[in-house]
Amino acid sequence: MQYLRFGVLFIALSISSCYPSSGTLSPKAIRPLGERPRVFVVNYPLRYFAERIGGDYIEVHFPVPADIDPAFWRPDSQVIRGFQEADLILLNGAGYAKWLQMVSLPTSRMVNTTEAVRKKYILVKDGVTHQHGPEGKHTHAGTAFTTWLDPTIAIAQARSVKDALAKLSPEHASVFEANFAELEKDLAALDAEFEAVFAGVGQQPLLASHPVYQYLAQRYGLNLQSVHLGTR
Amino acid sequence: MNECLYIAWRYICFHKTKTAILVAAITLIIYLPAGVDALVDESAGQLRRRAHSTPLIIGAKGSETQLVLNSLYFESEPPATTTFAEADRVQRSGLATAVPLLVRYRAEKHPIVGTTIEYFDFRKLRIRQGRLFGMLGECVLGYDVAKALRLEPGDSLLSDPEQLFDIAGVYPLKMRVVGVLEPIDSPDDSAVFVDLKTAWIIAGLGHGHQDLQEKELLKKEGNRQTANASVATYTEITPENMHTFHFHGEPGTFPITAVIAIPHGEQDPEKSLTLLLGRYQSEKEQVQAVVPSTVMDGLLATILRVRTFVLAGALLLGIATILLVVLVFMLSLRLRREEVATLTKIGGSRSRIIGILACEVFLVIVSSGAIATALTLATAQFGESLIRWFLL
Repeated sequence: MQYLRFGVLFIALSISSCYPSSGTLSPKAIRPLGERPRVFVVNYPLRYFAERIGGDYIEVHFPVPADIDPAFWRPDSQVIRGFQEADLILLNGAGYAKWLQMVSLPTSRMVNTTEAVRKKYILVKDGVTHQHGPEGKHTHAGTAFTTWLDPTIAIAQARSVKDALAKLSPEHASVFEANFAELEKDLAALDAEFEAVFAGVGQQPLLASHPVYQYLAQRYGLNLQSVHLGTR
Repeated sequence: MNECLYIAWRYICFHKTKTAILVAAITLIIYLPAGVDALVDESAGQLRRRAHSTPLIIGAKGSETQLVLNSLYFESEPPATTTFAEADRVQRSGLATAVPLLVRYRAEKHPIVGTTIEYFDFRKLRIRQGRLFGMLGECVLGYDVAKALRLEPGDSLLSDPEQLFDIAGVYPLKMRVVGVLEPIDSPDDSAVFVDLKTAWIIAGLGHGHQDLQEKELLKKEGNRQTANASVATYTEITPENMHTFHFHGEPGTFPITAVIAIPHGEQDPEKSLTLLLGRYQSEKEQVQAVVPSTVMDGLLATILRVRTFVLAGALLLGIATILLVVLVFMLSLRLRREEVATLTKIGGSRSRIIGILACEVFLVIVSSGAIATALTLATAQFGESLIRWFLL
């Protein structure tokens, strides 16, 4: 039974780490006032955090098509223009979204949500170049970027989102604070649940289908090895 | 009196060449100091306006003037570089928005300004044609550059190699023109704008190349691979090869020539400016923060001192020329002794003859004064364009 539960969580995390999802927990209903700031994000977890914290006070844009891995997506000039005109751009950091190196965005409106937890970054020494979709060949060498798989880092990222939104829209800071407190509680509960599940796993060797679970393994002390099931 | 004026006018018309020389000499005496004054005032005004609209510049320690002139007018020799980490430091301070600049390279002799898109908001630059740069390798042209090189969105522009015979040096980058700016009569009209990362590629800190083949590998140690010189590097960034472009090293260590700091705080930006300025006062600091208006005011004070000497010189020259003109009139009277005697014989009174001669002098001086005034007004009117062409 415990392994069945572990399997369900594992599959859920696999999906959320690589592909955007259309399903979200409904953000706290807040009545909008005037024009809403436009917030652009680079992955689904940040979209979720922004929507939960900002609610109807902000307009969240996540322009990556549903069938493409946002980490290796390449935007066209139209999408870049949208990012350039955004009031706030939420980045994951840790080398996520390599396309950021190729485009011109307003640095003063960009926020690296993992800046405060840089020390927790994991360096990936070996990376195999592979391909598993229309976004072309890529490698996972460098810094591991699926930071949100460690709920404590996810909380730090959500806090960073809250701080950025409060700076952007100070008149709603108290609402953002309250929404963040709820989100933090949910993520802490998830962390506790993970701990309970992984406590029984111990140092049993685990196999992952893709090299993106480094933060999960680090947080819960897992003996996790990755294989590459994509097309070489 | 009308008769005197008429006879004086006829006399002037009869001696056209002599009168023209006299008028030209007196015109120059009046115009030179007035015109120079108008031109210096206008150029000082232009330099001041640009400097006063730029709150703070941060750059490597060295000549303040060179740092300010390079950052504001893109014309002086590049100052010593600092690192991009300084821009990050300003941004993180929460006191100001950082606009990094790398002004070192040129394209067809026009300065390439590597910056971020905040620069366009800061200088209130508007797009006339096309759009802002969005990807690596794209550039936006100032109005004068587009006009001089006859370029428009869709065309391309090569960066100039730094050293012609340095074949192992940085290759020119073929940049794609994606936009042209509205003219705003400032040094921005004569610049080529690229993203800071594109400027780093021009500097050779980033590049794109074809996939390495086994036969091209000289050495392989873990993840570190050394290839031979046959690996083709790209000199143009296209959507097809863009993914091969990469940078070697941490962006924080990459060079910039300056950071423009735009203080936060709508109510009290001066407070943010003072706080930020205070952080760069330590002796141990590797960088300096300068207020461009202070530097330019100092520079202009020197120029204005020079202007005083120029004006004093012009004044002395004017006095000498006036004495010469008086001498010319006196000699002219001596030459015209017979003419005056004839006027007396035909019944001209002494006062009438003096009136005729005075009218001649009056007409010459009034004509010179009118031409000099027109030239001074024209200088004041078109001085801005003249200065931009010749000085900036």
